[in-house]
Amino acid sequence: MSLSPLRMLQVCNSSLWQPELLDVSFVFLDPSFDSFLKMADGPVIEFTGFMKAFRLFRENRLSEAEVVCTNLLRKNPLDQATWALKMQCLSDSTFVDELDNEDMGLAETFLEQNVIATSARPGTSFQRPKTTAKGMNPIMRPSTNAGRPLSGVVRPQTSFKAGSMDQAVRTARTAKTARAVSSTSARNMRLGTASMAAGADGEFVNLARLNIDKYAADPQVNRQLFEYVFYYVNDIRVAHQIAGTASKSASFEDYYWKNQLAKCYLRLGMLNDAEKQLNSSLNQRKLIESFALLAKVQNRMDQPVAALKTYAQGLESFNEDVTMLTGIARVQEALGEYDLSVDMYKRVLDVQSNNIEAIACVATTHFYDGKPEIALRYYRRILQMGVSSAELFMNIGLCCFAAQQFDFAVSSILRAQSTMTEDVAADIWYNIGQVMIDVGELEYAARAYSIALTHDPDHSESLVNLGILKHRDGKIDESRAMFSSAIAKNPLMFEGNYNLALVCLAQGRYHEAKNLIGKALEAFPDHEHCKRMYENMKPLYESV
Amino acid sequence: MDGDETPEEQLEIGDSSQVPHFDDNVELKSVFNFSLNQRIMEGCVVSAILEPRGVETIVAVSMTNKVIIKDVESPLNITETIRCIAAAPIGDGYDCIVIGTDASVICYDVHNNLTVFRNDVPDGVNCFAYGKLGDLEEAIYCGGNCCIWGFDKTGANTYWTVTGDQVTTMCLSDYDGDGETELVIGSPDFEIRVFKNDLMRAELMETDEITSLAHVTNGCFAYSLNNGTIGTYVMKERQWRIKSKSNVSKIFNIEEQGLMVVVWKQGKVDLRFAHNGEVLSRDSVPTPVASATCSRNAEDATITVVCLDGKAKTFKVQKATSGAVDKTQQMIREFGQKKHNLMMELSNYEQEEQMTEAEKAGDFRIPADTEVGVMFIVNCEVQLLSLRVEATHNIPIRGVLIFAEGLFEGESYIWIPPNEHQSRSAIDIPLVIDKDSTNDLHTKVFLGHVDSNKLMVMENTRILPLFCRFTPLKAEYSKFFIMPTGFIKFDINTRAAKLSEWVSESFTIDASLLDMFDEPEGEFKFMGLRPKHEKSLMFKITQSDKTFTIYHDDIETMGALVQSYASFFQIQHMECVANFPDVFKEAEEILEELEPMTEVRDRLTAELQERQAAVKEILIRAEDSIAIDDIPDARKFYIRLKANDAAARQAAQLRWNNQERCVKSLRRLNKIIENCSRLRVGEPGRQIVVTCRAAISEDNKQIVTKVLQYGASSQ
Repeated sequence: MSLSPLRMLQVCNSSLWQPELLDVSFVFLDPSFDSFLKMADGPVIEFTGFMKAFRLFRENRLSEAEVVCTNLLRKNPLDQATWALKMQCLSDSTFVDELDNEDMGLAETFLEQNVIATSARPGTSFQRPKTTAKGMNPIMRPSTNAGRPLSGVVRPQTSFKAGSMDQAVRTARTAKTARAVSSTSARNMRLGTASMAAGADGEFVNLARLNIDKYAADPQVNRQLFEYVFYYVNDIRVAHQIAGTASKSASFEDYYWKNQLAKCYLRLGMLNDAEKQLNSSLNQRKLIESFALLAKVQNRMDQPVAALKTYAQGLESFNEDVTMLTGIARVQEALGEYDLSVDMYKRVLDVQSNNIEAIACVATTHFYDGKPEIALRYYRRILQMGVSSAELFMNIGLCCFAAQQFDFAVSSILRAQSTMTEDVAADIWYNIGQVMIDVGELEYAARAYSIALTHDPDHSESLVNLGILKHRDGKIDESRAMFSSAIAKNPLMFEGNYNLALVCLAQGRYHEAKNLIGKALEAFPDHEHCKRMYENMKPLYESV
Repeated sequence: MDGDETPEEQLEIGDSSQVPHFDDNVELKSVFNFSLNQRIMEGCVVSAILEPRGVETIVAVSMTNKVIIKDVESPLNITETIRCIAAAPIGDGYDCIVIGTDASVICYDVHNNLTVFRNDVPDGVNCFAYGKLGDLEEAIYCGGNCCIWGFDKTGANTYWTVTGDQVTTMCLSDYDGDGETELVIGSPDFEIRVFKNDLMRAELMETDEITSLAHVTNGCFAYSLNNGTIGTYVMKERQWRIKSKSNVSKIFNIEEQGLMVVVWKQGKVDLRFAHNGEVLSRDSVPTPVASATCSRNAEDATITVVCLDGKAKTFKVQKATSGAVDKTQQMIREFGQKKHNLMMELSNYEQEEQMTEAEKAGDFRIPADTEVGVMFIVNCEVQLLSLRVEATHNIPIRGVLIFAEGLFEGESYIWIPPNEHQSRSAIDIPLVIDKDSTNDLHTKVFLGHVDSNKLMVMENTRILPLFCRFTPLKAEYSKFFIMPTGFIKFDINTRAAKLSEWVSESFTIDASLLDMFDEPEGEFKFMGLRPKHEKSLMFKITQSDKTFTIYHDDIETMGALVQSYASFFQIQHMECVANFPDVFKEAEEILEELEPMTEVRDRLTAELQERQAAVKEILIRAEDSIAIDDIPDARKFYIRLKANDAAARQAAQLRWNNQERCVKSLRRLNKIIENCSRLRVGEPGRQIVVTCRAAISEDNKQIVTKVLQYGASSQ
């Protein structure tokens, strides 16, 4: 039987990430004003009116700034500066970096036809990573729910197309593992909450009645208007119209608008148009954002080689840029080229030694490479940087355990257990179960798996391992049920298919066993035992 | 196989005095068969090396708009409608596939799964040619509607020019043997045009739509027409052509051996000599052909013919094993036929000798000195040009057969009196000519008395002048002269001394009237004949500022006049001022509406995408509902799906209509630029195209009409 391996927890990168930090609003920067503030160290100066709103905005107190703006607008609804500032406040409060916003819904994944080659040469497509690469071994390195090898951090775009749409629809989707039906609907949900926060006045700008062509052509307010419509209202069609008009009024010479148009096209799924805009923007001015967006578009088209080229071009203009390097590392990882990917992450660390994603990915690769001590040092580094999450402690615990430092392992795991949140509880209990099996406490292990399943009934790895324990106790039917439900939860899982096949074989259900081994081989083509069983079964079929 | 039985007719053949001797002991050998298991789109088959150190493989387009690669499981998926496909060796030691769709050119690298470039070509691409043109770098040339684009291997636009009609086929060949390649293009308007760099070098008038062109050797290219003609041009002259009932799908050449392979749509495959079209070997495939491709792996060429149903057959050219025997048999048969004909003729003469005088008189002989006159006459009253056939000695004409390529529907015209007693000795045959082209009229006149059972055949050849649609205006018919509003004005070149020479060659005119054209100053009026009888023509020579003005309303005919004038007097370079208010106004209108149209198109596309996204989402939700057995909800979703689908369709329709209009306008604009460029000769004409292109792409639209009017040097 094949046990599901230890699962490193994916460090949640986005918890570190604060949208406010990314906000770029130095357009309004006024140094003389700051020095004026410093000189007046007497009584606190009370700002009023627009200046107050502006100061609040500069201090990132967006909701307060917005209230001031609202009051001002009530007095003078035609004040364009206040109007623009309020829009800026609103859009900043819902700002998401488009580069990181890669959640593809089911609809986009299965019903879009932007991909030219559905089965390109292995290594040139995300659908077909190099199977010979050593990282693609599901026994050594577990895979995610979507059939991808586990990576160091939680990041979007790890959910690529696998299997048919039918399968994807039938695969259990819970609030936790949710994959949105389509990216527009996921955002529409966000839209609802955002406008509710806006207050009782109803919508701030009535887009249906706004003279879009007039405001979109006005360079004073069009950027704010665009961002408001794009990020806050989420009406991509209107946003596209604004960007188009603005780009025209800037006589097609403003790279900013070309990038915004590309973002709109990307959201609308018009990848070719997005690519065109970005190329034209890059011809005009080379920007990191444009390179990254272009590579993102190419990734969406499933052309990783093109994306790698784009990143390389970006690196030519921006030497050792972290965004570019990270991009290369991510693409290489998705293609199964772990060595190249880790090399890239190391380069990232040379430039920016506190890059969590790079550290976590390098650590994960080291761990699954059989070097837990080294992985441990990387995880400690993250801890030193002041991140302390249950995932991190669990990973440190697992590293210690694998490196035979049991005292540390137990204390770290206990720490993880005490700080864990609901969304990682199942994984943590699962790993505790693994540790229990390794120390020979099978009873406790079974209990740990059961607890993991109470936290997340869809935790297929726990189901598989619990199934193995049941099988060991001679409860064959129970274990069969466990394996089949594990397969139902995650059809791409190697262990579930393989173990059930073994059970079927023992029970003489050859046909079922053959099908299951076929599926197991799909997930792990190089598994020797599977291959041999398949070969053995062939003559049986041929003789019939 | 019925294709094999199709008779061929040798129309003309060049003198084969200095033809190099090639081994004629070769044949086509079928090597192997395979199937692509898909129905294949006509004309969309290429062979390409798709990976480094790979071998050539077949790439085709299926009827379902997918690109199929031989022995590769899943096809490539292109969202736009594919029109043509080509392979270009721009990868690192391998070929990239170039796909022409109805809106763009996509260059795709199969080996690395990446799109090398994707460029918009608003009115679609019909055909490709890859190679080096003149002194330009290697590029992919794309033939569209009235224009030709060139893209280099990075996708940069390196070439653009306009042409008179849609481009259906292209090849790069050294047309005039000067060591540089020219771009040869074929169009549905029966013309083969030759471009040297971006300057039109020559126009060759053919008799039907050009269907394919192929480079043969230096200074020689082969062509095929829609009516089943194939032939070659060598050093600007047609060398041979052969007509058949079937249509050509593709022509290849095997240069070293002086051979060419012709693949016919009905399934015939011929191996011919390139220098005289003689067939050396034939074979066939059982079903209609989609296209064929030639690959040259290791020295010898293999030809793969792909049928519409996806079946493919590969042929190899090899030394004949039984060719020699066949040849002798055929020769014996030919000589047998010749002998039979000669014997027949001889027996006729013998019969003649044995006849008595009385019998001869009863035969209604016609006098030996009977002559038949064939001339052009103009009936001014009805503005009609006719061909008058007149026999001396009052011998009745029993029938006239005129053979003139492209002039009549179906090539020849037959006149037979409705009733044999109505035969006259002079008849008028109306000529209603649509095109400005010189044409040879081969007439065969059948003479003989009504009761005679033998007819005499008189042959005659007349050349139809280029502008036979115009005739000098006679004073009494001045009511037919409508002063044209359009004109062009240019300086008289010193070479153009005697206008009368040009006029006599290009117009049907009485020799007595010719002298007046040599006067240094004056106005010469012509009236138009059917079918464009309302368009008059006037020349005006002003001695004071030494200018020559041509007044005429039809810009295309004006272009033809200018080109004919220039080539007659060998003028290489001529600028002029043109005035065609209607045409310029149209151009301005198109330029005006083009920009809003592209903007609207963008907006409509975004809307369509949004609607499609909604459809997809609802589809998934409905599937979800079914998966959890929630049938009432599923029903609701499907009802909503129907509504959304209808909305998406409507959006698509809107976008399509807009696109159609946009393409139409663009086509018209290209045509106008082409017409105006033809009003100039040589470099000024080329400059107009270049300047207009630059102005349009730089959004500098105001100057376009100015350029069209006053020439590129005016700014």
